[in-house]
Order: sequence, then C-alpha cells, then structure tokens
Amino acid sequence: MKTGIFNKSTSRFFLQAIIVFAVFMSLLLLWEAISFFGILNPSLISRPSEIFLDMWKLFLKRSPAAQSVLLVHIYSSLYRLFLAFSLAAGVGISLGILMGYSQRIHWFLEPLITLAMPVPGIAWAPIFMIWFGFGDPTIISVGALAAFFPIVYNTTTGVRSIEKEFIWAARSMGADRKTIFFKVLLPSSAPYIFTGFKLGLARGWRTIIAVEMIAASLWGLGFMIFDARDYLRPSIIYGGIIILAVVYLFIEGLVKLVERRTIAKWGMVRPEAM
Amino acid sequence: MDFKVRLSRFLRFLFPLAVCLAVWELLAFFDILNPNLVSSPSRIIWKMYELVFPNPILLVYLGRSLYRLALGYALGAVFGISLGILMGMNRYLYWIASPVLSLLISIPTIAWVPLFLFTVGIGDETILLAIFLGCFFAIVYNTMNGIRSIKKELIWASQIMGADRKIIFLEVLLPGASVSIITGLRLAVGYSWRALVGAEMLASISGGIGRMIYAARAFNDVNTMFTGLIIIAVGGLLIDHLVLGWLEKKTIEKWGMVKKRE
Amino acid sequence: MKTDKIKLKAVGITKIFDDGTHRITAIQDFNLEVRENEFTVIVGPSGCGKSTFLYLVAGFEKPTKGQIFLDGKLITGPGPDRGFVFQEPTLYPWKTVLGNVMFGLEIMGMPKQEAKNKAMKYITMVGLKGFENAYPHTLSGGMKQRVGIARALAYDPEVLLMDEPFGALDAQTRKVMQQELMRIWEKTKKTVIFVTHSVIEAVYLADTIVVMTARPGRIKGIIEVDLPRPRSYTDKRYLSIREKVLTLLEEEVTKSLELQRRTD
Repeated sequence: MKTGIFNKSTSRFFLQAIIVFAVFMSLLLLWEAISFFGILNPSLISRPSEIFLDMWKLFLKRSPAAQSVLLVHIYSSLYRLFLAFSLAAGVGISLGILMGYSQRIHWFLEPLITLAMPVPGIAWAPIFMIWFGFGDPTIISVGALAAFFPIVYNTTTGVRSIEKEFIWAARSMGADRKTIFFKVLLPSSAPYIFTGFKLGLARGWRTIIAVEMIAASLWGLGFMIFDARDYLRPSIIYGGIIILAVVYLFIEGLVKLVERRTIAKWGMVRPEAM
Repeated sequence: MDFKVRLSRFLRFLFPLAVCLAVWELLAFFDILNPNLVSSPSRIIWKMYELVFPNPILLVYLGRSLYRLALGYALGAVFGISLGILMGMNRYLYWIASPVLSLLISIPTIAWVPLFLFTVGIGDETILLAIFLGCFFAIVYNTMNGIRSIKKELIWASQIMGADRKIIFLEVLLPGASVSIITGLRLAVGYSWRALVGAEMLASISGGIGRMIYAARAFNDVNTMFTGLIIIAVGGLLIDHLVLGWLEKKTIEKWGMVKKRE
Repeated sequence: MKTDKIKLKAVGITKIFDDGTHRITAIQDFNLEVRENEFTVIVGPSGCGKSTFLYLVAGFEKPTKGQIFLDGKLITGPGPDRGFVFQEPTLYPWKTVLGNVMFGLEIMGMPKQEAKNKAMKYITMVGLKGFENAYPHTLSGGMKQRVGIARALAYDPEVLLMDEPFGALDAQTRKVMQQELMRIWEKTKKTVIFVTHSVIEAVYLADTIVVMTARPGRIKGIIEVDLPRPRSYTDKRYLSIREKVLTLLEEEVTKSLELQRRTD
C-alpha cells in the first residue's frame, strides 16, 4: 500500500481545484475582455477589474466613525445575524424541548408552527416596521422570527424521536430526571438541534439581507446592494453579491468546524437536502 | 383513510388555531393590545371581504402572484432538472460546475433583485427571474445528488439485461433520482414563494400579494398586511400538500422509497 | 445433465483495484473452465475476490490482465447472454414484480403480451403467483430474491451468475431458498456460477466446487460433487465432502483473518 501525502486522491483534489480555478479565471478574463471592447453595456454589466477596484475603494473609504465603510456594512449584517440567531436559538430550543416533552403543548402549538413556518420572513417585515420602525429592532426581530421556526421544529422532532430504550437504560441505572435530561435527552437530540441551527442560520441570514433592503437606515450588506441601485453603480451590486457569497461560505465553514468537533465525532450527522 | 378519522384530525388541528384567534380577538376588543397595530381576526376578515366585494382586487393580486409563481417555478423546474441530470451523469461537468453551484447557492435570492432592477428593469421580468433563481439551484442540487446516489448495482442490473443509454436514463436514472427530485421540487415551492414576496416588494409595478403587503405600509394598514400573510401561509401549505403531496403519493410513496407521511 | 462442452473459460485473470490510496490485488492468475449446464459454486474466505470474479464475468468490471470467454466469445461488457442475481436484491422499487421480471424482455423488444406471459411463467416458477402486481418494498427478503432469480432467468441468458444471493437471509429462509433453487435449476438446466462463503450451501448445490485462497484469490482446489439430487444435509457422503471442503478452506480462513487484522 502506498502512503505519503501526494497519493492519487489528493492529487486528484488539487487537479480539480486547479481546473475549477482555471475555468473561473478564464471566464473572468473573457468577461473582462468583452467588456473592454465595449460589447457589453458598461452601465449594466461591470468589468471584473472595476468590481474589484470599487470594492477596494469602499474598503478604504472611512465612515464618520473612521472605520472602513465596507467592513462596517459586513459587520452590521453579521451583528444582526448573531443577535437574531441567539434569540431564535434560545427561544426555539426551550420551546422545542417543551413541545417534545409534553404531548399537550405539542398538540396546541404544532398547528400554529405548521401554518407560520412556510411564510417567508420578508413578508413579516412591513408589519414589524409598523411596530418598530426602521433599523435594527425590525431587522433583528424579523431575522429571529425566520430563524426560530426551523430550530423549534427540529428540536421538537429530535426530542420526540429519542428511542425509549435510551431512557429506560438510564433509568434502570438509577438516573434521575435531571441526569436523564442532560446526559441522555440533550445529546441524543443534538443532531436534530444542529440541523435546526444550520437551517435557522441560513434562513436568518437570507431574511436579514432581504429586510435590510427595505428597512435598513444606513448600514448592512443588503442596504449597500439596494442603495447602489439608486446611485447607478452596478459594480457595487456585483461586488456585494460576491461578498454575500463569501461571507456565507465562511459562516458555513465555521458551522462545519463545530459539527466536526461535536456530533460528527459521535457519528450522528444526519444527511439532509439543500 | 376513513372520513371520520380525517375529520377528527382536521378538528384537532383547527382547535388550537381557533383558541388563539379568540384570544387575539378578545385582546384587541378590550384594547389590551392596540388594534391599529396588531389588528384582530374580525378586522382581517372584514378587510378580506372589502378586498373582494365589490371590487375583487385581492383575487386579481393573488392571480397575478400565482401566475408569476407558476411561470417562474416551471422554468426553474425544467431547467433545474435538466441541468441536474446532466451534472449527475457527466463527471467532468460535475467537477467544473459543482463548485460554482455551491458558491451561487449561498447567495440569497433577494440579493439578485437590485441587479435585475438594473439590467432588465422594474416589473414582471425581474420578479420572474428572482423566482426562477430561487427554485433553480435547489432543484439542480437535489437532482444532481439524486442521480449520483443511485446504486451502481441498479444500473448494472439493467446493463446486463442489455439496456442502452436511453433505457437506462428513462427507466433507471430518472425514477431512481425521483426521491431527490421531488425533495428539490418541494423545497423549491417554499423558495419560490419567498422569492416572489421579496421581489414583488422591491420590483412590482402591477400588484401581487407581496406588493399589496408592502404598499399597505404607507397607510399603516395592518389589516391588509395580515390578510396578505394569511394568504401566503395558506397558499404555500395548499400547494405543498395538494400538488406535491399528490405527486409524492403517486410515485415514491407507492414505490416504498419514502415513508408515508402522517 | 452436464455436457463436456466448455461454456465459459477464464484465462489468466488478475484484477487489481487502485483508488489512489490503496492498491489491492483481488484476484491473481485465476483460470477456470465451466461446462455447459454445470452448477459451479465458488467458495472462499471473505474478501478473497470471489464476487470480483463474478463481476468480471458479468462485465461490470474489466480484468487488469487476462480474458474471459463465453461460448468462445470474449467478454467486453455486460450483456443479456448473462443473468445476474445480486447479493442485495437489486430490484427496481418503482416497478412491480411483473415489471421487474418483464424488464429484460422489454429491452429485447418482445411484444408486451408475449413478454407478460413469459414473465408470468417465471414468476409462477419461483412461487410468486398472485404477487405479480406487488411493489418490491411490500415483499420479504426471501421473496425479493425469488423475484431477482425470476428476473435473471426470464430473458433466458446463457449463464446465470449468482453473487451470494442468500447471504442476507435468515437461516430458515436460506434453506428453503436452496431447495427452491435446486427445483428451479432442475427445470431450466442453466449453466450457473454461484458464489458463497457457506460450505453447507456449496455442497448442497454444486456439481463442482471451486475453493479459493485468501487474498489475492487463486484456486486452492476443485472438488466434484457426484451426489444425486435432491441431496440431504445429513447424508454420510454429503458430510464427507463437506469435511473435505472445510479442510481446504480452514487454512485460508485463518490467513484471511490475519490479513484483516493487519489492515485494520
């Protein structure tokens, strides 16, 4: 058996990376070239170099508080996501556990959740704007509402789908309710809760970007993109979209890291659809 | 299923909702919550009535939204399934396209709307494009995975019986990927509603449910907003249950490839 | 019964799997001749490459070295002159029992009614009459394998290849299926290559038993079984042949266990 770092499968991975990179770069070059020769309308479709330069300028530009404008946009969106997600996770997990434990609470709340879950977060935004006005309170609470549903739904499913034998086994060893809760119930529903987290994070992020477009007053990536429309700057829209993708991939990478450290180690990752 | 069982299940589903509506109504009635901010079931029902009689503006809006939804969704499904199958079958295409796909899939659909506003302008085209993108990626991704996860023995079994590429495609790959394809289609219903509402808020010049909710803000008209929300919730649920639930029952459920839904 | 005509011939077969990180020689210098109408059983310790050989005959995989001929024709890929029964019943969940069994005939282009009649004949033969409109997920493991056998026989292949078809069944069902298979085989007189790791099964079924070595798989010995059918699991001659095969195998099983321990 061969060993060593550069065996065939890793070199295949590098090959793929190189090919993808090459295809990507040549597409960019092609795009750049046809824009350069004026085939594409520059007021509609920006050149890659222009996008990069404009992003760089935005990065160097200082806000009134002397911070990089681009970074403040990114930071504002992430900050809102963090608050919204924490709120959704706290309420979602508690309620989910209650619903998983008590048949009665489940019976009462399940129809409400079934009905409200598929409603897109953005649809709530105008109502919340009447309650809270423009800015953070609206954006964060709508984001939290959007993230809440997948978390509560998956937590409930997790607690309800625990195998009775697990609880019996713990009880026969003399575990009390508290021990059963912390040592059996929580860990065994962890994969479900984690799925809920992932979905909630994704939903929260999308919703926050969307609500920023209609309810943000100054900062945030959604605001930045939508605002650029008024100033006829497509390059900022293109750049903003790319940054959205990169930031989200970064968040996703972080989640995967946490997953590897926890439930993957226990062999409990659940497959899922996108 | 027995009619009685169905009815009792339906009532069990309805009862908690009725309780919540009653509490909401009472809170608004006794002014414990300001009805101008939180509305109330009776006000919403009255509003719905006003929006239908004598001038059925609500139905016109709903029709317009459903039309956009159906068209965008159909386009997304046709192109999504086709590309997904190609990517699932061709290793090289998969190699090149899947990293691009995973990059694009992580962009919120709504972020494209300002760009479309810029390039194709305000109106139906932008909304359609948003709906298309909203469901396209989910369908491509799931179709591709469905094709790729078909056990090779199932393909071998047909090859040894002499099946050519066309038969393998139609009789093995397509039904074999059906679970994933339907999952994708199902997710895409939700995504396309989301895209529809968002895009209508930002880009509609001729009505639609999303537009209706957004426009009501100018008049602080909470009743209309809740009307819109309810329509979106019920509409989404109905499409999911009636159309895709039916498709599921006729195919993968009958074949035992997924568990029956409760 | 079996004739002296050589139906299938494997010459100098070597199969090496190489996925980049691991390089495994599954079979090495493997030669085999199978006569027409003969029931050949290949036994060997787990991981000896006996299923790999069957895959090569089926044409699912290509040998690294060597050639396999069926009726003098070189095998280059899968084709309807062979039938295959997989270890896991590989039925199409979206087709009914009838649909699965008819599939090969439809591919051949047989008219629908004719295909249906022929498929029904084989469904009846494997004892599943009345289940033709059932979907596979409603059947038990043993019934699924019956469908698998009917499907492989229906389009009348020259050789039937069976890859541990009863390996996933419980002991009771397994015994019944062995008897059933014999009954069906007596009716069709196909040339069969059957792979198993059960010696009991091998001696019960085979005209010829091919014992393989641990990895890389080579031929350890070939034993002709001359007992009349139906055979009894307790017959004295049956037991003595079983003993002979077991002795040949024992050494290899120990070797294969050591091999596993090392790779673990």
